[in-house]
Amino acid sequence: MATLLTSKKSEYMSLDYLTKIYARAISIQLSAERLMNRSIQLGRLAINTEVVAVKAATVGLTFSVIAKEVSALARTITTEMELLEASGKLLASNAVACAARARLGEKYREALALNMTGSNAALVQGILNENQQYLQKVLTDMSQQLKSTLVNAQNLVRLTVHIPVVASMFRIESARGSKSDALLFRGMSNDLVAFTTSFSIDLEHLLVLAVKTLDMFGIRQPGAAR
Amino acid sequence: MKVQKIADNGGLSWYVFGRDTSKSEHVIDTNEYLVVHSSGDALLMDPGGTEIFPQVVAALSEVVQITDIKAFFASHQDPDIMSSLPLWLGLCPKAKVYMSWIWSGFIAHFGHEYVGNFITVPDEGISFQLGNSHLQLIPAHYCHSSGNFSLFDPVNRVLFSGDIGAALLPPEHTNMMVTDFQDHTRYMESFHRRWMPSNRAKNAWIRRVRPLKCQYICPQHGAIFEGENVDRFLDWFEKLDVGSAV
Repeated sequence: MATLLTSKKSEYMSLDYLTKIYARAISIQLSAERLMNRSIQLGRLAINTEVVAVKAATVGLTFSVIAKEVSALARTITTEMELLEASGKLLASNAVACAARARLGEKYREALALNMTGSNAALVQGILNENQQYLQKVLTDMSQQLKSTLVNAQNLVRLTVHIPVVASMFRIESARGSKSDALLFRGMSNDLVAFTTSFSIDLEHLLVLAVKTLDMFGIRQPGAAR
Repeated sequence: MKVQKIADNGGLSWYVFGRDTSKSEHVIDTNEYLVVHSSGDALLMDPGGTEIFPQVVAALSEVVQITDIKAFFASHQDPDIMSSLPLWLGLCPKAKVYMSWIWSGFIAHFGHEYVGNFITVPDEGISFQLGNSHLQLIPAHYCHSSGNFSLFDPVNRVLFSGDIGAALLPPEHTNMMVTDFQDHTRYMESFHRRWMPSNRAKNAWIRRVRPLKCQYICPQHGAIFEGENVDRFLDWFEKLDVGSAV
């Protein structure tokens, strides 16, 4: 299948197409920012579990192991999220540049259509060609950024799967502790489950956006969600 | 788009571009002025908005080599004056852009990569060369913009006045020159009452301009005042109570 890298189709350079890409890129950036804010919540939860581990004397040792698991997971998710957020920002800024250039290109094209001739027409055509080359390059970069966004998001899906497992560990431990510890552990477990639910919904939204945007570049992800 | 030569003396030729019938009805009609020196060097005044760039560049390319445009002048900062700047500088990347010092940071919003081309003009104005001819930037602050200049060619006695003298003409009014001054005032009055905020500033501009003995006053909208209509306009403007439309 022809991708943007090889396609000569003018539709890929049209203002309409680039405006749609721009809108998608901004949505992806906003989505990544929302996920980043959620992952900060996970970091807070991890700190809470560490504090509780110190206090929970009766089952402290086991709890401490689970708390360390939460912290490690939070760190990994944060690292992945930072990559995702950075690629989201780059994608959005490239999209802004593309939309602005496309607008300029449209005006140069309109001028040429008004029967410009000779060296002046050649000058405008030359600038228009440079503009097209620039757009081609930035769009190629954007397709790469989108692919890495998708990889980051898929890694996050894999990591998120572990959170309910850790939440179950808290539930199991709650049965062994004192009454107050049990209440505390169940609370921790509930917080982690609630986090997973909201994080997964946002993550799925971002994945769908990234896949649909890659579709616009003529790049299909086999078996990816639509 | 209409093209008309206005004046041609001392190695400087003046052209006006305007009355574009193909533009969107939502876009205000504007006049763009080009002065070409016999050496080939050209200056484009208030090059216009992005929307009309294709028509202006196509019409202008019938008169001059685009690469010969060595300078642009922006009377003030409005979008109809020069939102096309990035398009023009894409074609003439070495051209200078003369503008009031107070607007450079604002005009940079049209494309910050061209800030190096900006020549910021101090409040008192400057004189600069096109080819070996001198052109003068005359202060017109608060007429209507807080940093505003008119451009004077002392050889042809042509004054490009920006929004001063502007008229909002109906589409059927295709003449580039004012033919019936009295009738023309009805297209100017409400514009000047609303857009010109200060009688003091307006009268200061008139005091600067009268001694120049202009043969032409060329506004960015409407029609050009020639000969006796120049004094008629200055007299009319002097009597008008501006800043009084609301």
